[in-house]
Amino acid sequence: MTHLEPAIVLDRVSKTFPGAARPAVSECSLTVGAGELVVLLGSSGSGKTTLLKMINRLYEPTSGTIYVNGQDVRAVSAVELRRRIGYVIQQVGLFPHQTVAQNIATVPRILGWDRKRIEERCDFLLELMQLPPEQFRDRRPRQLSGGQQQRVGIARALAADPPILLMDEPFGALDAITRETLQDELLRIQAQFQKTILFVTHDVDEALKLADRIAVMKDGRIEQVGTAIELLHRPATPFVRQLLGADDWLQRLSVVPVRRAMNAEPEVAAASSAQPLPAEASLRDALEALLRSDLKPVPIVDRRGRRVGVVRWEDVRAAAGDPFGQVVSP
Amino acid sequence: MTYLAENWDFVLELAWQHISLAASVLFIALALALPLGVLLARFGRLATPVLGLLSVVYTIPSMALFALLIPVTGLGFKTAATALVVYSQFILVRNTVAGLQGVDPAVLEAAVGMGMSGWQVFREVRLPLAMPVILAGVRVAAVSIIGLASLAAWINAGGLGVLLFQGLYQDHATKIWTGTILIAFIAIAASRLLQRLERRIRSGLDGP
Repeated sequence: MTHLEPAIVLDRVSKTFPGAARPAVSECSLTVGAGELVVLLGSSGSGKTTLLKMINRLYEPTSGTIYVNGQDVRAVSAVELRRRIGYVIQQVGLFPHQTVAQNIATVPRILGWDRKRIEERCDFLLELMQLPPEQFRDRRPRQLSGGQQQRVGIARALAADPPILLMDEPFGALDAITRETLQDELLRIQAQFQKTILFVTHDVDEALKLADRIAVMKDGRIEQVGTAIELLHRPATPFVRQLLGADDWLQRLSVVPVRRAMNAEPEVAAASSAQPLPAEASLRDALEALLRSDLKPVPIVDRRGRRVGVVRWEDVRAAAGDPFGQVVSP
Repeated sequence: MTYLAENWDFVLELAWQHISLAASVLFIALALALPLGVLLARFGRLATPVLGLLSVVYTIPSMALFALLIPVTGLGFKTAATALVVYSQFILVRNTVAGLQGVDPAVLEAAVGMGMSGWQVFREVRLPLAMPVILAGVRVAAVSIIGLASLAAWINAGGLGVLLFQGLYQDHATKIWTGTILIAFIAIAASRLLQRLERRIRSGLDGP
């Protein structure tokens, strides 16, 4: 992803909490490109949330440097910095004494936007999050379901149009169906507005589904960074291999979007006689389609029905990893 | 009934003294307890020892507290007010601390994470959300102050307690009844008023 302008750069960042025997985060380096969605994946205690919270300075690193849009985060006041970074947490944290509209207006109000602009922005965001403004604007957080609350939480984080979004297990407390819906919406918003998103989760399926790239964390260290396909194909350590559950690869394939394995070859796609597959389909769907087309390249169509590329047998085979082989060194 | 009919202006004056004593005590007590509560909520380590001390003061019988203060502040309003202010600190401070510390940490994290300054978080989030608990403390304090203000008569600070003590010494039951009913009435009225305020704020929190 070197062609992307770096939006967030972590340079050998470490954090040891006072009185802790070992660092919560140690020597983590990671570059997130502008418009990229990177997932920090790890179990609880792996340091992923600590790493995230150092970016908007809710925690200060013990050593190392963090750059946001090329600027050392310590060069500006924490308050200023945070107003330029959207922040979404698992428990949402809506203000219970304010209406949905007032909640969303928080940062624009602090920034001194005029009332009309705030109202327009608020309605726009409610519509974006599929909450009809006239119906939801004046409601209280308590009158919303968990999924609706997090929709408002995301709208609130997007209110002042920050280029960067930090999300800390935002869908962790939702039921499976609501979670999947919101994951789809996040991908839709991401495609529409090209936000830079750093997303923390412990849910492997969620990571495989959402991430442009995944950074796997364990014991405060980043074990491996790569696309879903790279991680599945070439796990760098036994831990990554075990976490991604190569034994269960059919299940894994069913969450990875086919566009991650797609070859952008519209000519080949146009020439293919096989039944086309939508870009949102999974690699498992692709596997089925390949079997049905006798392993001939399967064309991929985008939302507007254009044939944008193809997926081949080798691509799916690569993502399946090597179910019976050993760990491949990177 | 004839007593009240003949002495209504005296009784009214005592009632007024009672109310103004209780009101000024509540006002001064709040002016002390709110900043102290905010401070203790901010520096949590201080909360336990300070609240412990206040709870010890709270257990001193009010008569004893009056007696202790007489050598310092003499007889009259000043002593009565001082004792009642000291006395009500425990409830007010405790509820302020509990209210401020009881705010959902996720709400505070979101507020800070969005870039609200410390003062904005306090004024726009923490304080409004702590308000119902703080007000509940004010209500309990107000009722107990109104009750205890009856003892102020014992040290020449006036109020409806005068009727109670006169009634006792003169074996005049009507005076005792009149005083008791009026004190109870004032306490209930104050409680109702504050309850309504509390409910209005709560409904602001819970929505229509």
